[in-house]
Amino acid sequence: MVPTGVRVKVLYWAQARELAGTASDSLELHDPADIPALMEAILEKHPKLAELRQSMKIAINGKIGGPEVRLKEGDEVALLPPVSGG
Amino acid sequence: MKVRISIPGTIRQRVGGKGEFVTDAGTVKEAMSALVSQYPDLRDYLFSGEERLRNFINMYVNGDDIRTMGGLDTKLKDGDTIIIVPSVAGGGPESELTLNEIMRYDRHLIMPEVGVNGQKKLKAASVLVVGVGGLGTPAATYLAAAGVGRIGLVDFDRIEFSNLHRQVLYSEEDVGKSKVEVARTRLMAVNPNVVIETYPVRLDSSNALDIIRNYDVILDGTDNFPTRYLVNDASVLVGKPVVHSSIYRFEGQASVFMPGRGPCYRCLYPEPPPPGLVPSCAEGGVFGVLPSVMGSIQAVESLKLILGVGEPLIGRLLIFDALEMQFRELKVKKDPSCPICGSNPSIKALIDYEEFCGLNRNINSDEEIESDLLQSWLKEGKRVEILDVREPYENQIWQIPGAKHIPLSQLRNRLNELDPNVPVVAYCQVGSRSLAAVRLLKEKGFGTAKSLRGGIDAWAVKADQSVRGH
Repeated sequence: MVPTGVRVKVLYWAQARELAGTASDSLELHDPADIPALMEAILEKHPKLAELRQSMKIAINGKIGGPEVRLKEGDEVALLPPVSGG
Repeated sequence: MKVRISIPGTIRQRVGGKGEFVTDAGTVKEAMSALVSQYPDLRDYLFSGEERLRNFINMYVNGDDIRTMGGLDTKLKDGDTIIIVPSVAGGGPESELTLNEIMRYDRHLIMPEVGVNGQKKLKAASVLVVGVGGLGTPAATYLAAAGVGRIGLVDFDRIEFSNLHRQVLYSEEDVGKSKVEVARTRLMAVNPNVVIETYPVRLDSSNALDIIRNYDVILDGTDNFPTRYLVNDASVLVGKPVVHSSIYRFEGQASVFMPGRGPCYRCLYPEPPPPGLVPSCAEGGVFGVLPSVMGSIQAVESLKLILGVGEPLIGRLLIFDALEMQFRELKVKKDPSCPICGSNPSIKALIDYEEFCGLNRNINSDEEIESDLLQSWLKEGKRVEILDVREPYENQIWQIPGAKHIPLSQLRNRLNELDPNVPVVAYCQVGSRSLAAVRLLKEKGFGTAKSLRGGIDAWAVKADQSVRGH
């Protein structure tokens, strides 16, 4: 049986965009399709993001969410690091 | 219909001292025509042109503003009372508008969302602009132009050449001068009706509460993390709303943090990024016009809060991307375990924000341990107490197995839970709070205490892939 995954769109903001070298990704997750699993997939693809991991906010479909959130097919996840400029 | 027009004291001399005029009229306009045909002196006072009320004249029918009904065409019933309320009361209380102000704010006064009452609210209000740079200069300019009665400016810096591509309040001849002093002169020129108060100081834990408590709204236009956390904490402690924005190259974030009504900055970002990782404008650059967009949004939100109109940006983080030319909005919830605005706050007074953000550290070699060494200690079975000094909401996400948890804010009072004969290795997210914990521990007789260098971030990356918690 071929396992079917959950495909989510990942948006990178501010410095996360610079470190990832792209503004967005489309990633496929297998069970568990949750935020820690997504972060693992993201860090595997963009190891430079590790430094920012703990200070970024994660928004799922426009709502800031925690590690308990389960991701669904087509969800849009934004990685939002704080910025300080003024 | 027989209606009464109530004549205010300020214009009674124009109607022979009478306080009331009774006439037959079906609309407000008919009533006014009857009034001005009997007292022609009133025509120019009340009307501009043929049939438009002057902007400083408000009229109410039985207490309701005619602008919310049919304007001059508002229908009248028998026995209705029209009240004329001119907003000018020369020499009156502070909140009355002068003739200069009535002319200046005309385009505000003719909108019901502002009107005379709203303009008086602006005049009576005060906003503290923290950081008079890319965000603060456009924000302060619009606040002054809009007639916010008292504006405080906090900035320690002098104007640099590299400020001029975005901080359009300043000119080349101002380079080297104090930002708040030049800003004050310019803002007074924009609108001499407003009071500009200057604080050419670095906002810190010793002065923030005293400065912030004197203003109604705090506008955060600072350029560094320590001051952002300081502004947040001080404003939560004295119950003031913060209109926040921060920028990075082509992007901006904005929100309104209103104590009691929504999340604060710490609910959004509990911990600053590791020092040096997120570049400032000086390090990373900034697109010149970007801060002006965001500073203007801050001015909008400040004015809305004062006027009490519209939907404030509370519980929402607005993100602007100038390259994509896109605004997005993220919903942000108040964190019930937030250490400053949560239901059981652990921060009850201002802290050292440089330290909190991991800055200005002079570390002795015996104060830190590398994650590799800690890992081998654990493999060898060396007796060691691992101490997580983060706040409870943080260690739910990632933690080192077997760690004891005492937040830094409680450590001083919970030292009896630690054995002075067992070496302590403290950790937090990035190694700054744990360093503070170790210094406290050494002071209290835990001579061998060490801080995990780089915090759990470094640990997770270098030493232990199994750190993923829960």
